[in-house]
Parts: sequence; C-alpha cells; structure tokens
Amino acid sequence: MSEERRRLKALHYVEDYLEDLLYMLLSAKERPEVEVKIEEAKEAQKIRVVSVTPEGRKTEIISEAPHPSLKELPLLTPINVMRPLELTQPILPLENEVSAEVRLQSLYKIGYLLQMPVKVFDYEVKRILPLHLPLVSPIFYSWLREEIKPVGFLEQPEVNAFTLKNLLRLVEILPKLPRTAERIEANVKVPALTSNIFPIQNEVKTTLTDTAESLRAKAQAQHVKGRGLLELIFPEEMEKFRRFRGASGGYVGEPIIIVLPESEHHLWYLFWVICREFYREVKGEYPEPVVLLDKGCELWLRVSGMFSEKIIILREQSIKDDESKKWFKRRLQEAFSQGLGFLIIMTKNVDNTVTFIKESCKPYAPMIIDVRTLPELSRLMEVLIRVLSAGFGIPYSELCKVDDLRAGDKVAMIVEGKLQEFPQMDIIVTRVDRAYRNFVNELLSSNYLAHVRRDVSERESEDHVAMKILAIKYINERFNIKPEKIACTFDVGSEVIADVYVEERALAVECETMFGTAPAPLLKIFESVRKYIERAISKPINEIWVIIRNWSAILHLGDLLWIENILREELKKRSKEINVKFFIPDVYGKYLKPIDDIVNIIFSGG
Amino acid sequence: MSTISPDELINEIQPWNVDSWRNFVENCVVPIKFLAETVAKQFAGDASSEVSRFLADCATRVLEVARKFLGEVKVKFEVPVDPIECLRQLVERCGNAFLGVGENGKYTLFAWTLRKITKEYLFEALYPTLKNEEKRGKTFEILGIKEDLPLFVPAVKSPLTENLTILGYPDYPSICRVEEWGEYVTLSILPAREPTFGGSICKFVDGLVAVLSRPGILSGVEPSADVVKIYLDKCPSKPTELHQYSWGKLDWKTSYANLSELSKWRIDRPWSISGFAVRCVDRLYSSEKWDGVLQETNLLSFLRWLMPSLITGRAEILLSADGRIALLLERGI
Repeated sequence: MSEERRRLKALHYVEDYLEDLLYMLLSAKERPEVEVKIEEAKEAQKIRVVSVTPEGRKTEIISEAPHPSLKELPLLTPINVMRPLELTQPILPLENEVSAEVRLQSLYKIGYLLQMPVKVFDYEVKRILPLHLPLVSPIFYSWLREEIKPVGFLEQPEVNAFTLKNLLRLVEILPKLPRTAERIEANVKVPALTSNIFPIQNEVKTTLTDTAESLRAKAQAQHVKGRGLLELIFPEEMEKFRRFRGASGGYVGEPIIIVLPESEHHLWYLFWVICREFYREVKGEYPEPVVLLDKGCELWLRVSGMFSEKIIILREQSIKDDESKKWFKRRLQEAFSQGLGFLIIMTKNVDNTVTFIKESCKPYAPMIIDVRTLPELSRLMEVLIRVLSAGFGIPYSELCKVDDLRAGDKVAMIVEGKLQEFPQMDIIVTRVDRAYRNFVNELLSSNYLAHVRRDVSERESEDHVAMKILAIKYINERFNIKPEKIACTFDVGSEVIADVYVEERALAVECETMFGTAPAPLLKIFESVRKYIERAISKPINEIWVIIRNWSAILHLGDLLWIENILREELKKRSKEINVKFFIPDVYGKYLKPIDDIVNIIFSGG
Repeated sequence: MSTISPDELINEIQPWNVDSWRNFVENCVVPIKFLAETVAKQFAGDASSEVSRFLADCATRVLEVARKFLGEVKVKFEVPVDPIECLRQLVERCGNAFLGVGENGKYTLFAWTLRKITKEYLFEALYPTLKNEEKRGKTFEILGIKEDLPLFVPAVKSPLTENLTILGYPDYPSICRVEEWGEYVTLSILPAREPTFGGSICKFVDGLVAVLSRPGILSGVEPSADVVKIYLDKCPSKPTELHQYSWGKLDWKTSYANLSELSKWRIDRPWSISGFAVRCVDRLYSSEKWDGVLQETNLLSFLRWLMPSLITGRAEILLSADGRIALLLERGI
C-alpha cells in the first residue's frame, strides 16, 4: 500500500493505529539520513547540515562556529549522571590595558650618560586576553540541526594576575585548572528480570445473610403462590387450573365440567382423585362416584342424572345417539341450580365437545375446565412422580417399580437417553392413595392412640386423629419428650384449643385436614395460627406447628408456603416471639417434614 | 492460600490445548452467563442488575469467540427457580472463577497475565515454555495475541527493541487517543475491531470483580473469603522506583465501566517516551514538548520495574496510539 493511500485510511480502531505506527517505524529505515559536513575556514568552522523533508525536498543549513582553542576539557566536579551539568556563562575579570610612559628631558650641553627610555607598568593587571574554550554542549544534536545557539561555558574560577610574571604566564600558558581526583567509571544499573509467583486460593462457598434468607423466603413464596400439583403438571393451562382449584374455595354452588383429551395413559384417574379431595375440602365428606366409561350412560342420565355431590366420569362417545344427547342436554341445563359436583368427560376432540356442552346448556353458561394440550408424556410423568414422591415421602423407586405389573399397566419412555419402563399414571396415583390410607390406618392402630383425645367436634375425621397421633409420635421421638407430657386437644387460653401442646417446649401444634372448610379453605389455616396472637393465652407459646394433610398440601403447595411467610411476618410485626412452621406428614418414614424442604425439592426439579 | 509458579500454571492448564479451554468455558463461563442473565432480569432496577448484565454480556462474548477457535461448546445449565438461590450461586461461581481460585481460576489467571507483557518478560521470566514455537503459536492463536501486531514497539533501532515490545490483547483497554495536552493529559481508550478470546476473558474478570463487590441485593450473599482482596494483597505492589505521583487510581469494582472502550482517563503526571528515554513530566504540550521533568529513566528499567505488578493486575498501563505517552494506574478496591 502506498504511503498516500495509507494516509487516506481512517483510523478508528486499536488495530488501525497499531498497524499505522508499525508501518511508520519500519519505513523509517528507507529514509536518507541527515548528512553533516564540517569545513575548515580561517576564522571558523563551517557546518553544513543536509537533510530531506518528509515531502522529499532537500534542505541545507549552514552555520559557523569559531575554532575551539582549549585542548583539554576541564572537569571541575565529578559528573553526576543523574543530573545534567549546569552550564553558565563564564565571568572573567576583563579590564582595559593600561600603559604609562615618562619621557625625561634631554640635558643639553651637559654630557650625561644617555639612557634608553624607560617604561613603567602599573602594579595591577589591566587587561587579560580572552580565552577560547571548546564548544561543548549536551544539546549538540539540536544545535547541529537548527542553528548555532549561544554556547555556554563551564564556570571558571576567577583568575587574578598580580605580577607581570603571572600575567605573562597566564597569557602564554594554559591556566592550571583543577582536575578530577579520580577516573570516572560508568556502571550499567538496570533492574533484573524477576519471575512472579502467583497467588492461588481455594474455592469459596457462599451463604445468605438473615435479611437475604428472609427475602428469599418472601420471593420464593411469591414465586410459587398459586401453584400446586395441577399447575406444575400442566404449566401451559395454569390459569384454568387456578380457576378449578379456586372452585373448591370460592363459589361452590354449581357442578364443574372437566373436558379431557382421550389418553391411553389413564389421566382421568388423577383428576378423579383430585376432584374427590377438593370435594372433601368443600363439603367435608366424600362425593358419590359414578363411572360411565363403558355403558349405562343413557340409563343413568334418564334415571338419576344429577351432577351435584358426585364425580361422574364418562366418554363423549357414550352420548352419541339422540336419546342420550337429549337426556345429557337436559341434565346439563339442570346443573345451573345444583351444588358442587364434577363431571369428567373424555373426548377425542376437546373443541367440539366444549362447543357441544356450551350449546346444550344455553342459556346457562357452565364452568368448564378444558385441557386442550397434554404435556409430553415423559415430562408429565417426571413432574407427577417428583411431586407425589416429595409430597408424600414415598421413595421414587417404590412409586416407579414395575416388577409386579402386567404389560398393559406399564409404559415405556426414554429418560436421559435410556429406555425405561414406568407404571401407568393411574397406577402411580393409586399407589400414593393406597400408601396414604395405609399410613392413616397404621397410625390409628398405633400405641400412641392412647395419648390422643378427640376433638370437641363430633365430626372429627380419621385423618385428623391420625395427624394428632403423628405429631405426638414425632415430638416424642425427636425431642425425647414422654407422651404423657404431651397434651392433646388442650386448652391454652380463652377459647384457644391446641390440637397438641408441649409445655416443656412452649409448642402448640395445629393439624389441618382442611375438610369442610369452604368457603376459602386456606383461611382456616390463617385462623388456626392467628388465634394464638389475637386471643388471651394462658400458656407459654414460642412455636406453632401447622401440620397439613398430604393431598391438600400438594394441591395448594404454593399458597401454603405463601401463607407461612405471611404469618411469620405478621408475628414479627406484632413483636411476638413466636415462630410458625408448616409441616407435611412423611407417609413412608412416619415423621414430619418442613414444607420449605418439600417446596425446594419440587420447584428446583431435584 | 498458596502459590503457584508460572511454569506449574502453564503446564497444568496447557493453554495450547483446545479441549482444556473448552472445559473451562463449559464448566465456568456458561453457568455464570445463565445465572447473570437471570439475576439481571429478576432484579432489574437494582444495582445488582447492572453488574450482572455486564457480566452476562462478557460471558456471552467469551462464548461467541470461543466457538470460533474451539468449535462446538455445550451450552447447558439449569438455573434455579428461586431468585435468591440464583444470587447465591452467581456469587459463588464468580468467586470460584476469579483469578487463581480453584481450578477455573487458573484459566482466568493465565489469560489475565498476558494482557500486556513485554516479550523478554514473557519468554525469559514468566513462561519459557512458550519459547516452543508450536505451543506458542497455538496458545497465541486461541487467545488472540498477534506477534506481528504488538501493542507497543520502542521507536529505536536497537537489539533491545524486540525485548521491550509489548504483546497483548487489542480489545483489553490499552491503546488510546490523546484528547488533551497541557497540565493534564486526557486519553480516551480506542475501541478494538475484533474481540479476542483472551481480551474477552479479561473483561469477564472485571465483570467477576464487579459482581463480587456485591452491590444491591447481592450484598445478601456472603462468600467464605474475599478473594479479590486476598489476591491484590498477595500481588506485587506498584514499583516504588517509579515516581509516586505519576500513578492514577483504578477502582477495580467500577473498572468494568470506567476502563472500557471510549472512556477517558485524565492524569496530571504522564510519562513521555522518546526513544529509550522515559520521563515523568509535570506538563506535556505535545509528544516532544514538556515542562518539569519529575523523573527520567530508560525504557528498559521502566518496563522491568513495571512488569511484575502489571501482569498480575496491581498496575495497569495506558499508551497513546503513537507509543509516546504512557499513563500508569494502580488497581485497588
């Protein structure tokens, strides 16, 4: 690239500048060097400096310098290499020459010895000839290039000549100037290369401050609020399932119609169990199940046909003929004034079925929960197993074992690149449900039953009793407190009865089955804790445990964590030194597990 | 806290090995990228978001440049759902990626020490292993160091010129344009055309320090050790031989923003470089005109004094594009 072209190139980036600089340095070789000629003349030396400008023009500078006359460089002080010599103009005493002459008159007629004229010199030196000292300058280079500048001389000691003899010596011979005492030596003193040793450190661990922990709890609670088992399994249908879940806590005066896509993986059973649990929360009792999967649909619609207080499961194909359709339409219309019930319809085309239901109900608009897209089976199974395993404390291997299953009860999936067999979805749900029932039965027949007192209410469920037994068992085993010292259904204040109370630890335990707690079952938990701070308490309370039944816990998991967080904050604000902790029974290990741990397992995917 | 010799360091990480760097990127840079992106989104508006965004961008750049030299890089990391856990993991991973911490810290340390280094210091004192042409070639190719495009070459024809040539990454701030002469000299850092792998790692290190300073919500996370402070304490301090008032202050916590392309640095006692002569001057009117020489030394001594603290990062140097002016900065927290 020619120089002109290089010059036209815009410089924007580091690389441009570095390339340009490198080019300049390399091209400097090719340039003609400065030529210096020194010509001797009579009076002075002529110095010619010939150089070429960057544009290629030749320039010549001529300068003159007088001959140096001093042959030896006087060195007055040792050279300080750290500081350049200071040059000053010499100050020499220069005076005018003085001469005096006396002429004696001749003596005429008298012959005297004639004498030659006598010259008398003054006592003092009147004039000293100038000394020519060599031109020595550390800025010789610049002097050479530009012009001759005034040259500084080394400062000389003042020289006085008192006698003619001295004066003559001064004129004729070089002045005796002081010399350096020793020869000057120059040593190279540059720092040596030293290698570094780098510091290395062990890996660090991090912890959260108390504030961050509290913030974490808040953020996590906010994040998981409104998310339970259904929202986790069907994340894309989250809003619909929130409405569905809300139905058990909100308006309960109508049947809910659930439309599911036909699935060979028996998805309906999961919905069946969930509907049962919601119904128990609302009504405190079991709903009547009606299974119309194979036949008998028309008969049932004709004879019975009320959706309220039931869980009905049927296929859309069962309502094909006109008679069935007529009866089905009639029953749907009647649903506008019925209590809570669930109708689960499985169909090959969800859209058409939903339209059909809506048309059939007119002018009544029923509550329809339609699941249009199912997640990928492996994803669905993975979430279901994770939530149920953590929520009930049943080991993963127990839930997923396939040894005793028929081929039709198994499903093969590729997990982490390997083909694995899993039980069908209904088998997994059944196993969990069975394990829970066995757990309740086992507790009800344990020795701890002897230390349990029934609730004042006659409607106390077996689940509630079992949870009180579990609380006593856990406290006994964990804190080594004898069951006799653990009070059950105990009065701790004005109209405040703790399900379990341990005076030794100032611990009150509330067992929440959430049965028959509509409207808004979750409010029941707020009430259970707030009673300890809003009413007069006669016993010491430092800690409140809330044990929540497993099915309810996994259906309302996010909301429960949020409630726990709200209550903690509330107690802190009211300056109560009371800690609140929510637990879920571990069905397999028969102990209590903090809800935070379960949330971490479920929501972190671990 | 222990030490490692440069020789042990280079032989452990084998910087000429592509797989070695790929492991570093996959195990260290990728998780930090995801965590930092998440924190930046989740805490938008907080000071933690700004530093996390910068770190995420740096990690993304490292990843992009890495792909050019290292081929396919696995980008897989599951970010925790809990936002506070994200913060904790981000700080922990940043601490463990910082210079000389754990295994990943050895890679960042190696790349960091080659930011700006004279050839004689590189080959004679630090990594003689790189005299091997094949190893040097591969290492330089991966990191983006170009021997034919050094950051600084002394403007003197001398046998020493080669030794005092400074190599490094063009995209880590070093070459500047002079914007103000006189009592104060202002340099503005020039941008680089292409990011290099080494330069991206160095900026990534600045991002790590910014996160480890834990602004905003990040202050809720406590690391078991203050790795940045320990590192700086153990590094060679700035050379006492160079004029004490010629040093500017570089706060490492904020250097991710201040020591960046197009940012300006103003200093009142710059160093003027003229051939091998190096002078700390009071006022600089042009590359060749100055007033008040505070210290005069030579380039060889200047660079030899500077190197130990420069390569470890205790000191930083900014050079004018013509290589005639240098600013010295002392890095601290």
